[in-house]
Amino acid sequence: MLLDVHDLHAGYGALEVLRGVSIAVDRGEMVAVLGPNGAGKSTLLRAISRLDATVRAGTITFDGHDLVRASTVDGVRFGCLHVPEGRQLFTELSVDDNLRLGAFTVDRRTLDADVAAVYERFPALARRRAQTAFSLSGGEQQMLAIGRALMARPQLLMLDEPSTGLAPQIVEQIFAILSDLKRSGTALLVVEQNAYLTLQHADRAYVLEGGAIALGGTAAELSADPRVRAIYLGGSVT
Amino acid sequence: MIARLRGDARTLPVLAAVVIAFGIAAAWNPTFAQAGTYAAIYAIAAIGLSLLMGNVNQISIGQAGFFGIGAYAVAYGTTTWSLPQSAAWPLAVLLGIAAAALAGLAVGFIALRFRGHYLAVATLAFGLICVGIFHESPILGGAIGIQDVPYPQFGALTISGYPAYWFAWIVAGLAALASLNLLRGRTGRAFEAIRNDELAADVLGIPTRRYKILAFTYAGALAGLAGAIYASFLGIVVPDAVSVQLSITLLLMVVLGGSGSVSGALIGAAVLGVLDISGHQFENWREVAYGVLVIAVVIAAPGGLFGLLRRPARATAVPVPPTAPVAAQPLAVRAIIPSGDAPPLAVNGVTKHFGGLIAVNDVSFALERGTLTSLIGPNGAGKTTLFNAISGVGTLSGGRITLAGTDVTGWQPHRIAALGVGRTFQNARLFGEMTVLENVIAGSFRSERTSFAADLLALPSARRASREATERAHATLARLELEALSDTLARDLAFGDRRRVELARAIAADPWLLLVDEPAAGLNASERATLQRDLLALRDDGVTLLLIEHDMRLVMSISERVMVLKFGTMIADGPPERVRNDAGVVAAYLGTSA
Repeated sequence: MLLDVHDLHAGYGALEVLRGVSIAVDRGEMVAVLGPNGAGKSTLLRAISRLDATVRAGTITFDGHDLVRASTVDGVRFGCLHVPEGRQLFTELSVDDNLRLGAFTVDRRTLDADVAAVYERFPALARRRAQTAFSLSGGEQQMLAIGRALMARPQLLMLDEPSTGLAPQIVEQIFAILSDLKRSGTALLVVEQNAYLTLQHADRAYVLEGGAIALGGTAAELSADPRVRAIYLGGSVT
Repeated sequence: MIARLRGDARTLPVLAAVVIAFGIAAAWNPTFAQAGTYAAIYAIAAIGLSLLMGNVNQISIGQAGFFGIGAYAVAYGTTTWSLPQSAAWPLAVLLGIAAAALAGLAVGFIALRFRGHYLAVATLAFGLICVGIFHESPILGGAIGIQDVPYPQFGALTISGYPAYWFAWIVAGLAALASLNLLRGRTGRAFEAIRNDELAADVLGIPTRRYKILAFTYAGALAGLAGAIYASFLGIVVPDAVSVQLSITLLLMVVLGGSGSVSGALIGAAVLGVLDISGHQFENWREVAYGVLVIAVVIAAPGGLFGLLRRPARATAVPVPPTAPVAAQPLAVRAIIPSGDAPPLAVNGVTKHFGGLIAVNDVSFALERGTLTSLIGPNGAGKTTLFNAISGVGTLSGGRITLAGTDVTGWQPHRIAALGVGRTFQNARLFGEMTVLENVIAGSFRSERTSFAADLLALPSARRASREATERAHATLARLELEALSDTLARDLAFGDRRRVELARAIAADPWLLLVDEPAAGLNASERATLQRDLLALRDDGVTLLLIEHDMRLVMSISERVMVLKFGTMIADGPPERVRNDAGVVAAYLGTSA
């Protein structure tokens, strides 16, 4: 397994959000984490990338490295990249500068080639390379956030709600990009509320509820499982 | 009484003993007596600044301006008025205090617009303006200042030299007692709540703006008083004496002694005063000594010297096992809605933009009294924004909000709260440095009846108000079975208890409309059951509840009505079963397949 999270307990201060979560992502796989608001999806990503969520117990192993003892920057060096919710771009900097800042941990000699590769993948960004990130549309900003993460040559890309605030067509476009990345060998861990669309693109999925994994299986199995809807909207689970 | 003031009250007699001992020892040493007198004068100003910084969380690097106003008022009045000194002096002192308080009021209004280092710079500018005016005013003597200011006179008694030490310390002592009274009363509780969380204080009905201005006014008045006494005993006032240097010295005294306490200000002023004595030998090294001492204290004891004296913080509270869910019982909230037939809450065409983003789009609904309605929707749907709109946080872009027939559109949060509207927050905004009991007392702020003057003089009415507020808070805690946690600091609470204490604080003043934002987030199963019981009990008491919640099992099982927001627009409104099966709601939550 590329990423192996075992019995993870994590939270913020006195608040325990994750209560024993185990998930795994293999190379070349696209895995989705679904669940209603407040289930702990973002916290899971924030714990893996060693941001503000505090790990209380459990293990996180990435490509043979122990991430619990690693820093956020270490994770990036190992190739575990987090595209946070709301993109978190450097909005006052140009598209080009945003991309170059993504390459802080990798060899500088290939920088120009890497930027060119991102522009090739996202022609829309190439046209706007001198504009500030702030001036981009929502879809373009999401592309830039993904492009910036690609600059660090990730083995695993973790995306938090890539569809937030985007029109349905643009969301389709973003998911097409993610499927494309998967085909080129990058593993993906996608946190989403938009369950049905995500299940169409993912290989496997977990459903979080109240900080624990309630369901897990292949995307096809979960698409047909009425329990997914019950977790989101309440009601009897039959 | 706020927990951290207990130590303050206990320390004052000790400090009084030190002052008396030093005074007796200084009887044979004029240098010591003079240094002690100045320490008392600076202590008076430092008390005001300490309260401003430590209790209301505002900074001022312009206190010398107020000090100067008081000093110049006395110097000008006693040298120019054709009155006997025994009449001119008290009048001039009162004029100085009043003028400094007025300046404090003005600075307080300006300070509302600034925060953090901008506030620091604004107050610094105020101090510079004052010095500039003193310097350029011919009637104040320009750069030479005012000379030959007469000593205070009471009948045949002229106070100067050694007696001045006692006089100055008596005034400082009175200022200390009055300030402590203020902090122990309703005013102090409001200050403490503001320091901990301004927004939460506002929605509990505490007029935060008014109290911040009050704090600036009070600190200004004390600095003016200090300046008045300074001018009387030094006999000369020059612009350089009330420059930024003095503002910084006062700031150092407060930081050194420990801000937020009366004793800390006294200790800080006394320590720097003693340094001043040795300053005669090492004049040029005095500033260096100040600086090093303050940096050492800030590093080693952020609470100042007074913080070191206090007993170490209490151990974290023993977690209390969650109470077992029992059958719903009334919480005995007296939910008295003012007018007859009007709905407790009516929202008409409410719209809220943030720049180009429409967070709430033309939402209208009315709630029936004594019902529990849930507001749900995906992240970013505008639910909390709508709560903010109802509770007066921020301004609406359009629409009207009516509470029990009263149009409250554009009202400040504390006025809306005072009508009888309670609110809790998504992230349980408790006052962390206050105990559970103090949090709940703050919740009933709007039903307390006492005045600033009563607080200052600790009149029986103020004591009675404090006692009644405490009794009520105990009763509220008892109703929610939280009494065991009364003395725990809110920041030490377990997460689930935090939510329940916030609920207790919100119902302490008997609201008839309660807005509850994500109360179940982070709770375990048994805590959720307790929450459910409490919410239903409130509803049965006649409270109208509006709930934002993501736990759909809870929402669907306790709500009579569910409203769904998506991108700021209401997409469904009806009984839980119908909303759950609404195709639009399913799509909003789970997305569509393409």
